[in-house]
This record gives sequence, C-alpha cells and structure tokens, in this order.
Amino acid sequence: MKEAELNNKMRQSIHQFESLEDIQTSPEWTRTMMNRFAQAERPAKPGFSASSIALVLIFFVLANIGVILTLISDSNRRTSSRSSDLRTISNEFLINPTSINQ
Amino acid sequence: MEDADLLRRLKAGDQSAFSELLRLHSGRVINTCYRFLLNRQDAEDLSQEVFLEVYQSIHSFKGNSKLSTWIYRIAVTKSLDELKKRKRKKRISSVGKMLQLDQVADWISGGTMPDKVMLENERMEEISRALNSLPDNQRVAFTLSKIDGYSNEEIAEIMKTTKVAVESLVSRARKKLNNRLSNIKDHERGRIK
Repeated sequence: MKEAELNNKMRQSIHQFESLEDIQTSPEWTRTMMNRFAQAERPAKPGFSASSIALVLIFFVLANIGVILTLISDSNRRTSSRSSDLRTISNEFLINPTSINQ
Repeated sequence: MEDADLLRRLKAGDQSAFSELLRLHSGRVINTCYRFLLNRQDAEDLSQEVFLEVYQSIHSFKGNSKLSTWIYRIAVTKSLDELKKRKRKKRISSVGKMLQLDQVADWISGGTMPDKVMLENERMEEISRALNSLPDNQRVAFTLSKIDGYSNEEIAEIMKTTKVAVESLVSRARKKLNNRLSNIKDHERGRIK
C-alpha cells in the first residue's frame, strides 16, 4: 500500500465519521416508545400528596388529644393529692374541721 | 413559554405531551446516541432508555436549563455509560480469551461483540478505536460538534462549561485523533514492509 493510499484511508475514516448520515426514528420506534411510556411506572410526585397531608393531620390531632388527656389526668391526680395532703396536715394539728365552724 | 407549557403538561403526565416531546427531540437524541455508539440498532435502543429516564424523572427537572439541554445531557451520559460498559466487557472478554476460555469470554461479552459485527466497515472500527482513546470530555465535545444543529453554546450548556472550553476541547480532540490515526497508519506501513 502506498503512502498516498494510507493518507487517503485515514482522511476517509475521519470524513466518514463527520459525514455520518442522520438516522430517523421509525413509526415502529415511536409506537414502541409510547407503549413503554404507558407501561412505565412514574415515581410519585415529590412533595406532600393529599394522602400524606391527611396522615400528618391525623397524627397531629391524635398527638394533641393525647397531650390534653395527659394534662387532665395529671391535674385530677394533683387535686386529689392536694386534698389528701390538707387532710393529713389538719389531722397532724388536731384540728377538727367541724369545730372551726362552731 | 412553549417549553414551560410542555413541561407543565409533562409533569401532569399528559401522554400527548410525551408524544410531542418525541416529535421534537427524538431525532436529535437518536443521532446523538448513534454518533457515540456508531451502530444504528444500539442507538435506537439507547435512545428509548433516554426517553424512559426523561419520563420517570421529569418531576426532578427544576428548569435550571432548557428542557432540551437536560434531555441531551441524559443522552450523552447514557451513551458514555454504555461505552464504558462495553469497554469493561471487552476487558473481561480479552482476559477470558487469553486464558483460552473462548466460550466463557463470548458469554460474558454477550455473544459476538455487537459493535464489531455491526460497524459499517473497517474504517469505522478504526475511528471508533481512535475515539475510544480520547478522554470523555474531549470525546463528548468532538462528537457533539459533528452533529448537525449543536452549536458550541449548546454543547457548553450540555457539558456545563464555557464556549471557549468547548472550542479548546474540540481542537485538542482533533489533534489527538490525527495523532492516533497516524499511529495506525505507521502500524499498517510496518505491516506492509
């Protein structure tokens, strides 16, 4: 092979790459693609969906109810314990609660 | 404006919007994959993967770039990934062949190497080898610059670099390709002697 022939071959290699003809998508390709779109699962939209907002609300309401119930039971316990403390103190001082009124 | 409307419809899952997307961009995407893989069938398959990714991750597109730029960037990334996968397979395959495990090597490489079989002729195989020797950024810049319609500005956007950098990458790639092809030429000259 002569030098000129080799040069020509190299030039043609680059030229062939540079002048590759564009390929077109066939209707078959498009049809397959649309089918794959239809079959593909799309991940859920990022952010809060309606169901996740509802879940958060339910959790919030339940948490609040829990806190309120705890506060009520705590308050009841404290009231009863205070009255029992008062009774103990009055007993210790031998005060007859009825005598005070007399 | 049209881009924004199309994007809104795509995000809403409107099938006609995806059909519109294919009409607008499938040609460019398939030809981008073709220039990287140098095989029509592989390019058609890979471009479908590109659009599937677009379909599945359209919600994550923030609109920081043009929709088309984002799609072409996915096409380039997938093409490079495919080339890397092939290189890996070839390496494993050649180790197998070295150990004369031909059948195992063929199995690992997925049968006969598709690009070897499908390349249009010997010249394309040479240019493919020469392109494979380029660093990724030079290959991307050079390849995209040879596809009709990609301006240097657009290539810069896809590669997230500047227009000047793209021009430099293309010029360096061309120089390296010439050197590489000259080496092939020298090798052939030696063979002839």
